[in-house]
Amino acid sequence: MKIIYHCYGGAHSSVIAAALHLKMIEKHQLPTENEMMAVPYYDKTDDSDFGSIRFMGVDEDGNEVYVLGKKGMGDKYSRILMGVAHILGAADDLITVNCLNRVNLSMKLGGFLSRRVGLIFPGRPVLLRGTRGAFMTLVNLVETVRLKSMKRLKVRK
Amino acid sequence: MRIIFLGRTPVHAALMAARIYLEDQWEPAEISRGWPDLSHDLSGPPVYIGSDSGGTEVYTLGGGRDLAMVKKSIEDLRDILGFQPEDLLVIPVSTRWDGLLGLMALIPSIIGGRRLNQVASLLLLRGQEKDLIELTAKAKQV
Repeated sequence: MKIIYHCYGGAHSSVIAAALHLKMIEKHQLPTENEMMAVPYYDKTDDSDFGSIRFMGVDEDGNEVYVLGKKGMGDKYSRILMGVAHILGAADDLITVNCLNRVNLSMKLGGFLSRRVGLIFPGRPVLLRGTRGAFMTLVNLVETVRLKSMKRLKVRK
Repeated sequence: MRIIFLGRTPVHAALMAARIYLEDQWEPAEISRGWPDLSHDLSGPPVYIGSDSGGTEVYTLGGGRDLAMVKKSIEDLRDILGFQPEDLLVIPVSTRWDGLLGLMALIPSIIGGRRLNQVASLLLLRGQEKDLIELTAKAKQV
Protein backbone atom coordinates (compact mmCIF):
# COMPACT_ATOMS: atom_id res chain seq x y z
CA MET A 1 0.00 0.00 0.00
CA LYS A 2 1.02 3.61 -0.58
CA ILE A 3 0.52 6.25 2.11
CA ILE A 4 0.83 9.93 1.16
CA TYR A 5 1.08 12.57 3.89
CA HIS A 6 0.44 16.03 2.49
CA CYS A 7 0.54 19.60 3.81
CA TYR A 8 1.07 23.11 2.40
CA GLY A 9 4.73 22.84 1.37
CA GLY A 10 5.51 19.17 1.97
CA ALA A 11 8.37 20.33 4.17
CA HIS A 12 7.18 20.32 7.77
CA SER A 13 4.05 18.66 9.19
CA SER A 14 3.80 16.00 6.46
CA VAL A 15 7.51 15.24 6.74
CA ILE A 16 7.37 14.90 10.54
CA ALA A 17 4.24 12.71 10.24
CA ALA A 18 5.98 10.47 7.68
CA ALA A 19 9.11 10.31 9.87
CA LEU A 20 6.95 9.26 12.83
CA HIS A 21 5.23 6.65 10.68
CA LEU A 22 8.61 5.27 9.62
CA LYS A 23 9.93 5.46 13.21
CA MET A 24 12.73 7.79 12.15
CA ILE A 25 11.85 9.77 15.26
CA GLU A 26 10.62 8.48 18.60
CA LYS A 27 6.93 9.09 19.29
CA HIS A 28 7.15 9.03 23.11
CA GLN A 29 9.36 12.09 23.49
CA LEU A 30 9.58 15.50 21.88
CA PRO A 31 12.28 15.50 19.20
CA THR A 32 15.30 17.75 19.55
CA GLU A 33 16.14 20.35 16.93
CA ASN A 34 18.94 18.16 15.61
CA GLU A 35 16.63 15.15 15.32
CA MET A 36 14.07 17.17 13.36
CA MET A 37 16.68 18.69 11.07
CA ALA A 38 18.08 15.20 10.38
CA VAL A 39 14.74 14.11 8.87
CA PRO A 40 14.96 14.12 5.03
CA TYR A 41 13.21 17.11 3.41
CA TYR A 42 12.43 18.81 6.77
CA ASP A 43 12.61 22.57 6.06
CA LYS A 44 14.66 21.82 2.93
CA THR A 45 12.21 22.15 0.04
CA ASP A 46 11.70 24.93 -2.52
CA ASP A 47 8.94 26.06 -4.89
CA SER A 48 9.82 23.43 -7.50
CA ASP A 49 8.81 20.70 -5.04
CA PHE A 50 5.12 21.70 -4.97
CA GLY A 51 3.09 18.83 -6.39
CA SER A 52 5.94 16.28 -6.34
CA ILE A 53 5.19 13.08 -4.44
CA ARG A 54 8.46 12.32 -2.68
CA PHE A 55 9.41 8.93 -1.28
CA MET A 56 10.28 8.80 2.43
CA GLY A 57 10.62 5.07 3.12
CA VAL A 58 8.92 1.72 3.69
CA ASP A 59 7.28 0.87 7.01
CA GLU A 60 7.47 -2.48 8.82
CA ASP A 61 4.30 -3.72 7.06
CA GLY A 62 5.76 -3.00 3.63
CA ASN A 63 3.73 0.19 3.04
CA GLU A 64 5.51 2.85 1.00
CA VAL A 65 5.35 6.28 2.67
CA TYR A 66 5.46 9.53 0.68
CA VAL A 67 5.14 13.28 1.33
CA LEU A 68 3.60 15.98 -0.83
CA GLY A 69 3.17 19.76 -0.79
CA LYS A 70 -0.14 20.93 -2.28
CA LYS A 71 -0.32 24.62 -1.27
CA GLY A 72 -3.65 25.64 0.29
CA MET A 73 -5.80 23.02 -1.44
CA GLY A 74 -6.86 21.29 1.79
CA ASP A 75 -8.94 18.11 1.77
CA LYS A 76 -9.83 18.61 -1.88
CA TYR A 77 -6.37 17.32 -2.78
CA SER A 78 -7.05 14.05 -0.97
CA ARG A 79 -10.26 13.67 -2.95
CA ILE A 80 -8.43 14.40 -6.22
CA LEU A 81 -5.73 11.79 -5.51
CA MET A 82 -8.22 9.20 -4.26
CA GLY A 83 -10.42 9.90 -7.29
CA VAL A 84 -7.51 9.33 -9.67
CA ALA A 85 -6.58 6.10 -7.85
CA HIS A 86 -10.23 5.04 -8.10
CA ILE A 87 -10.41 5.48 -11.87
CA LEU A 88 -7.17 3.48 -12.17
CA GLY A 89 -8.77 0.75 -10.04
CA ALA A 90 -6.18 1.19 -7.28
CA ALA A 91 -8.11 3.05 -4.57
CA ASP A 92 -7.59 0.18 -2.09
CA ASP A 93 -3.86 0.63 -2.57
CA LEU A 94 -3.76 4.25 -1.40
CA ILE A 95 -4.22 6.24 1.79
CA THR A 96 -3.92 10.03 1.65
CA VAL A 97 -3.51 12.05 4.84
CA ASN A 98 -4.02 15.80 5.11
CA CYS A 99 -1.69 17.14 7.81
CA LEU A 100 -2.54 20.80 7.26
CA ASN A 101 -5.21 20.86 9.97
CA ARG A 102 -2.61 19.76 12.57
CA VAL A 103 -0.39 22.78 11.95
CA ASN A 104 -0.24 25.52 14.60
CA LEU A 105 0.37 29.24 14.16
CA SER A 106 4.10 29.00 14.97
CA MET A 107 4.60 26.34 12.30
CA LYS A 108 2.73 28.45 9.75
CA LEU A 109 4.67 31.60 10.60
CA GLY A 110 8.07 29.87 10.91
CA GLY A 111 7.51 27.84 7.74
CA PHE A 112 6.45 30.92 5.81
CA LEU A 113 9.51 32.90 6.93
CA SER A 114 11.95 30.05 6.36
CA ARG A 115 10.67 28.61 3.05
CA ARG A 116 8.69 31.35 1.33
CA VAL A 117 10.58 34.47 2.39
CA GLY A 118 13.96 32.75 2.79
CA LEU A 119 14.54 34.07 6.32
CA ILE A 120 16.02 30.96 7.92
CA PHE A 121 16.59 33.13 10.96
CA PRO A 122 14.19 33.85 12.67
CA GLY A 123 11.95 31.45 10.68
CA ARG A 124 13.55 28.16 11.61
CA PRO A 125 13.64 28.64 15.42
CA VAL A 126 9.94 29.64 15.36
CA LEU A 127 9.19 26.63 13.14
CA LEU A 128 11.07 24.16 15.36
CA ARG A 129 9.25 25.47 18.42
CA GLY A 130 5.93 25.17 16.58
CA THR A 131 6.72 21.62 15.41
CA ARG A 132 7.42 20.58 18.99
CA GLY A 133 4.10 22.17 19.99
CA ALA A 134 2.19 20.24 17.33
CA PHE A 135 4.15 17.02 17.84
CA MET A 136 1.62 15.08 19.92
CA THR A 137 -1.26 15.89 17.56
CA LEU A 138 0.89 14.57 14.70
CA VAL A 139 1.64 11.42 16.75
CA ASN A 140 -2.11 11.00 17.19
CA LEU A 141 -2.73 11.44 13.46
CA VAL A 142 -0.03 8.92 12.51
CA GLU A 143 -1.36 6.33 14.96
CA THR A 144 -4.80 6.66 13.33
CA VAL A 145 -3.26 6.17 9.89
CA ARG A 146 -1.26 3.15 11.04
CA LEU A 147 -4.44 1.54 12.38
CA LYS A 148 -6.24 2.28 9.13
CA SER A 149 -3.46 0.73 7.06
CA MET A 150 -3.33 -2.34 9.34
CA LYS A 151 -7.10 -2.81 8.98
CA ARG A 152 -6.83 -2.62 5.19
CA LEU A 153 -4.02 -5.16 5.15
CA LYS A 154 -6.08 -7.47 7.40
CA VAL A 155 -9.10 -7.23 5.07
CA ARG A 156 -6.87 -8.13 2.11
CA LYS A 157 -5.53 -11.24 3.85
CA MET B 1 -6.85 4.30 -21.39
CA ARG B 2 -8.15 7.25 -19.39
CA ILE B 3 -7.85 10.93 -20.27
CA ILE B 4 -8.29 13.68 -17.69
CA PHE B 5 -8.92 17.19 -19.01
CA LEU B 6 -7.59 19.31 -16.17
CA GLY B 7 -9.08 22.79 -15.97
CA ARG B 8 -9.39 25.41 -13.32
CA THR B 9 -12.85 23.91 -12.70
CA PRO B 10 -14.15 20.62 -14.14
CA VAL B 11 -17.21 22.30 -15.62
CA HIS B 12 -15.97 25.09 -17.87
CA ALA B 13 -13.16 24.82 -20.46
CA ALA B 14 -12.22 21.27 -19.36
CA LEU B 15 -15.77 20.08 -19.93
CA MET B 16 -15.96 21.79 -23.29
CA ALA B 17 -12.66 20.14 -24.32
CA ALA B 18 -13.93 16.75 -23.17
CA ARG B 19 -17.13 17.16 -25.15
CA ILE B 20 -15.19 18.19 -28.25
CA TYR B 21 -12.89 15.18 -27.78
CA LEU B 22 -15.93 12.91 -27.61
CA GLU B 23 -17.40 14.68 -30.65
CA ASP B 24 -20.46 15.24 -28.56
CA GLN B 25 -23.18 17.87 -28.85
CA TRP B 26 -22.02 19.56 -25.69
CA GLU B 27 -23.85 22.88 -25.75
CA PRO B 28 -27.63 22.32 -25.55
CA ALA B 29 -27.25 19.08 -23.61
CA GLU B 30 -25.06 20.66 -20.95
CA ILE B 31 -27.28 23.69 -20.50
CA SER B 32 -30.32 21.49 -19.97
CA ARG B 33 -28.32 19.66 -17.27
CA GLY B 34 -27.75 22.95 -15.43
CA TRP B 35 -24.28 23.65 -16.82
CA PRO B 36 -21.99 24.84 -15.34
CA ASP B 37 -22.70 22.75 -12.22
CA LEU B 38 -20.13 24.09 -9.76
CA SER B 39 -20.93 21.46 -7.13
CA HIS B 40 -18.61 19.15 -9.10
CA ASP B 41 -15.77 21.57 -8.47
CA LEU B 42 -16.29 21.50 -4.71
CA SER B 43 -16.50 17.72 -4.53
CA GLY B 44 -12.97 17.16 -5.88
CA PRO B 45 -12.59 13.82 -7.73
CA PRO B 46 -12.49 13.55 -11.54
CA VAL B 47 -15.91 13.73 -13.22
CA TYR B 48 -16.67 10.99 -15.74
CA ILE B 49 -17.91 12.53 -19.01
CA GLY B 50 -18.04 9.56 -21.35
CA SER B 51 -16.08 7.04 -23.40
CA ASP B 52 -15.08 7.17 -27.05
CA SER B 53 -15.54 4.36 -29.58
CA GLY B 54 -12.08 3.00 -28.72
CA GLY B 55 -13.02 2.59 -25.06
CA THR B 56 -11.00 5.57 -23.81
CA GLU B 57 -12.63 6.95 -20.67
CA VAL B 58 -12.79 10.75 -20.58
CA TYR B 59 -12.88 12.72 -17.32
CA THR B 60 -12.66 16.36 -16.29
CA LEU B 61 -11.03 17.64 -13.13
CA GLY B 62 -10.86 21.01 -11.38
CA GLY B 63 -7.31 21.79 -10.32
CA GLY B 64 -7.70 25.39 -9.15
CA ARG B 65 -5.09 27.98 -10.05
CA ASP B 66 -1.97 25.80 -10.18
CA LEU B 67 -2.67 23.25 -12.91
CA ALA B 68 1.02 22.37 -13.32
CA MET B 69 1.22 21.33 -9.66
CA VAL B 70 -1.89 19.13 -9.88
CA LYS B 71 -0.69 17.57 -13.15
CA LYS B 72 2.66 16.74 -11.58
CA SER B 73 0.96 15.09 -8.56
CA ILE B 74 -1.37 13.00 -10.72
CA GLU B 75 1.48 11.82 -12.95
CA ASP B 76 3.63 10.98 -9.91
CA LEU B 77 0.70 9.09 -8.39
CA ARG B 78 0.16 7.18 -11.65
CA ASP B 79 3.82 6.11 -11.63
CA ILE B 80 3.79 5.20 -7.93
CA LEU B 81 0.70 3.03 -8.41
CA GLY B 82 2.53 1.16 -11.16
CA PHE B 83 0.70 2.53 -14.21
CA GLN B 84 2.16 3.84 -17.45
CA PRO B 85 1.56 7.13 -19.31
CA GLU B 86 -0.51 5.11 -21.80
CA ASP B 87 -2.92 4.21 -18.98
CA LEU B 88 -3.63 7.77 -17.90
CA LEU B 89 -3.08 10.99 -19.79
CA VAL B 90 -3.48 14.38 -18.10
CA ILE B 91 -4.16 17.34 -20.39
CA PRO B 92 -4.21 20.82 -18.82
CA VAL B 93 -6.86 23.08 -20.33
CA SER B 94 -6.64 26.79 -19.71
CA THR B 95 -8.27 29.73 -21.44
CA ARG B 96 -7.84 33.45 -21.02
CA TRP B 97 -11.22 33.63 -19.27
CA ASP B 98 -10.55 31.15 -16.47
CA GLY B 99 -9.92 33.82 -13.85
CA LEU B 100 -13.04 35.78 -14.75
CA LEU B 101 -15.22 32.68 -14.80
CA GLY B 102 -13.80 31.67 -11.43
CA LEU B 103 -14.77 35.04 -9.99
CA MET B 104 -18.23 34.90 -11.55
CA ALA B 105 -18.82 31.54 -9.94
CA LEU B 106 -18.73 33.33 -6.60
CA ILE B 107 -21.88 35.34 -7.40
CA PRO B 108 -24.75 33.85 -5.33
CA SER B 109 -27.49 32.17 -7.35
CA ILE B 110 -30.10 34.09 -5.35
CA ILE B 111 -29.14 37.27 -7.22
CA GLY B 112 -29.03 35.52 -10.57
CA GLY B 113 -25.46 34.25 -10.39
CA ARG B 114 -26.28 30.87 -11.86
CA ARG B 115 -27.95 32.23 -14.97
CA LEU B 116 -25.29 34.91 -15.36
CA ASN B 117 -22.62 32.22 -15.11
CA GLN B 118 -24.33 30.10 -17.70
CA VAL B 119 -24.58 32.89 -20.26
CA ALA B 120 -21.10 34.28 -19.59
CA SER B 121 -19.46 30.84 -19.68
CA LEU B 122 -21.12 30.07 -22.97
CA LEU B 123 -20.15 33.37 -24.59
CA LEU B 124 -16.60 33.44 -23.29
CA LEU B 125 -15.77 29.80 -23.97
CA ARG B 126 -17.30 29.87 -27.43
CA GLY B 127 -14.52 32.28 -28.36
CA GLN B 128 -11.97 29.68 -27.27
CA GLU B 129 -13.51 26.81 -29.22
CA LYS B 130 -10.85 26.87 -31.93
CA ASP B 131 -8.02 26.52 -29.37
CA LEU B 132 -9.85 23.70 -27.64
CA ILE B 133 -10.41 21.85 -30.91
CA GLU B 134 -6.66 22.06 -31.59
CA LEU B 135 -5.90 20.81 -28.08
CA THR B 136 -8.22 17.82 -28.36
CA ALA B 137 -6.86 16.99 -31.81
CA LYS B 138 -3.39 16.74 -30.25
CA ALA B 139 -4.81 14.50 -27.50
CA LYS B 140 -6.25 12.15 -30.12
CA GLN B 141 -2.83 11.74 -31.70
CA VAL B 142 -1.35 10.41 -28.45
